[in-house]
Amino acid sequence: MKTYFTKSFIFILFVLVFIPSISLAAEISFKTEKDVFSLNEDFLVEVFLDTKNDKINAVEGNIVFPDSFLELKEIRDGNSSINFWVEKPHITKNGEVLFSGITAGGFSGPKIFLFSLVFHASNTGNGVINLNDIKVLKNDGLGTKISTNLLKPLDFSIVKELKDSEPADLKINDIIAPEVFYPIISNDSTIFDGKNFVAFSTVDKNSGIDHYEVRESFWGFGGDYNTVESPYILKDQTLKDKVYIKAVDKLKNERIVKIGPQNKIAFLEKFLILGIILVICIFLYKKIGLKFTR
Amino acid sequence: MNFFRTKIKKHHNKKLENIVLFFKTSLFITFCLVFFSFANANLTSTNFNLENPVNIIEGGESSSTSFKYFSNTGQISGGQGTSTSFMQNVGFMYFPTASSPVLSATPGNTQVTLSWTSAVGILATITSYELGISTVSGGPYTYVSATSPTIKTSLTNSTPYFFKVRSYATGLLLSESGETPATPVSGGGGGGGGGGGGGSMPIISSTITGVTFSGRAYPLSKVTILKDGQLALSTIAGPDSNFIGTLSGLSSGNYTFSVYGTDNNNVRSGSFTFQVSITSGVTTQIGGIFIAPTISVDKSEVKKGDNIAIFGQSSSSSQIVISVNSPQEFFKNTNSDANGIYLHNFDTSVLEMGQHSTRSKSLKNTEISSFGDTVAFKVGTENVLIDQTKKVSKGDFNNDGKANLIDFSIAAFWYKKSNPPAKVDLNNDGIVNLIDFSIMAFYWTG
Repeated sequence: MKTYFTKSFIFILFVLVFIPSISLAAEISFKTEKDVFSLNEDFLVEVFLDTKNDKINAVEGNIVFPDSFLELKEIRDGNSSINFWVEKPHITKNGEVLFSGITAGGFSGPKIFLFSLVFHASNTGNGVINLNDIKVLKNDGLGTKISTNLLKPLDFSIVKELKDSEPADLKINDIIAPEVFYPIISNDSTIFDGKNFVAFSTVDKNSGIDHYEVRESFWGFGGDYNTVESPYILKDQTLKDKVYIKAVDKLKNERIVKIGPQNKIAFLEKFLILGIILVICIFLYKKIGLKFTR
Repeated sequence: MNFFRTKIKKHHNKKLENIVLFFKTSLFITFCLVFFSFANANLTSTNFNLENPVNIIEGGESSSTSFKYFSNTGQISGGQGTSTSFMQNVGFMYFPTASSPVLSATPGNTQVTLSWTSAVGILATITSYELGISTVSGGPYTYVSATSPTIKTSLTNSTPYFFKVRSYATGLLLSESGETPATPVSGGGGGGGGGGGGGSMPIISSTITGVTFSGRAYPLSKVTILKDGQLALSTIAGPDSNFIGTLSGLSSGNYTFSVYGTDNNNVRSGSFTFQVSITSGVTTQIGGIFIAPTISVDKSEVKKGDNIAIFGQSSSSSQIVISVNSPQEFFKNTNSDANGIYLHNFDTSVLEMGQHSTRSKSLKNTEISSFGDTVAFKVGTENVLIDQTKKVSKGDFNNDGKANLIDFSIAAFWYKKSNPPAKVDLNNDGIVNLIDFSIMAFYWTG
């Protein structure tokens, strides 16, 4: 009798303690148009978060897919609800996509879009796309972790030929440049040995940001754009150069923003140099001009 | 049950008998747990704590500093009673409230798409919403039950409409939004936009893709709007606390907007953050934003029994509800003056020694803000004044008064590296990880 009492007590405790928390947990889900694909077909898997009325400001996870069947062609984060990626979704090793990001002020809702993956069906067979190491944190100023489940792993099949099925059109039409942004130049003793750096970030609601390029120039012309990441240590630590930052989306639309020289002496130097050139020109004109008149 | 017993006898199945016994015991324990959890428990709410409640049969009253409880209330059957002014749960009255939803309206061709933020109920769960529509600013509105998002169709193009949303908890009206205007416009799916801020603004047709924000802040205060975490717009509220601002040049897609106010002492309110889906060629109206009051205290430690000053700025001439949190939560009401300034001297003799916190919200007409930021203080043995000019906000690593992209960059530099500087490791666990970024995102100023 005692054993049954103990067992029953544990059972009831389990039900009372764990069931409510499971039902309230946030959920991550995968969405596809179908779950059977033809060999060599490209398809889209969208990743959504249901916050279950909690306000969330940070998400992290690791998507695992069978790379013997699937080839990851592209990761799309345009129109993502994540404002700043700590780790932009990227392949870490074969068959794993790591992501980690935050949204200032948080968000809540039943269908929060995180990003999507474009896969190429490279081999026939059955497989599953799963999600590990999920972390979803509350917007409470403490980083409280809330329990989160993957709604269900994505089971899929790849067959040699799928009859009566049109491949999905995964093309993005994007003729709009990334949004205007405002880079900030700063320095801090704890990073880059206190050197000046520029931090920048923008969004592209259609195809998503592909990369950033930076050009530094004293006069505004000359100098090459180099592909960089934020934060970027400035070559000109005197801050006399103009800094041009180009955001390029995945369809090559560009947005260029400029930061003027932070060092005000640069203006004086420019006037001084122009003045010297002017004096030399006048001097040469007088010399050469006089020669010709003689 | 006889069927089971016969079966057991018939097959001598000891195992089945054990299962029956297991479920009987489980049922008994469940009954005990449920019974003891309701009988003689201390009922706690965010408004009051009623210890060991018993029915007062002989008459009389129990009293506290915030309510009186007479013996003449009762309810024979279980469940929730209804009234137009209070709720009653099996004999105990309580007064739920909820923050006002923020309503966004996107005009289209003979239609307006409406969505709103969830009202946050206190002592109540919001169960339904009603959407009101009027062709006259200020109403009267015709209300119908609705869920967010909803599309109002069969509207007349070029006619300005005014919308409001009400939140309900099982039939009891708890809060309503400010008014949001929108003007349906024909042609190519394009839309028109309207003014805001009390409904006195002219309705302007527009084909730009953008958002117009309107609501209440503090008199002549700076209102900052962040778009996807970055500074997008600053505006100044009028002497009546109302503000309006338009952001253009947006693309079609999902945006996260945060709105916060900065008071006359340069103290920032908590951010009010919401997501909006923007449609190309349309100006979406987001109305009824009610920025929560700012809050400060004059002491980081207060000697038990002495007063602590709780002050800040809110909408002009509004009612302020101050919550002081401890094992027991205390609520105090005060009013803001014409400049939105409020002050309450809280007597700490009711508080226990140790850490406490306070926060406030504002009520103006039928609108209710959410609770703002929380400020901590300690009840101890001495008074320690706070230097109001030297406040450092969390997540501001380079001490420029902001938590923004620079601070994110500094944290990103130390991400998962060993021995990060103490200022970057916000939860002091020896590593900079997602938790530190989450804390920074909460205090983000853009």
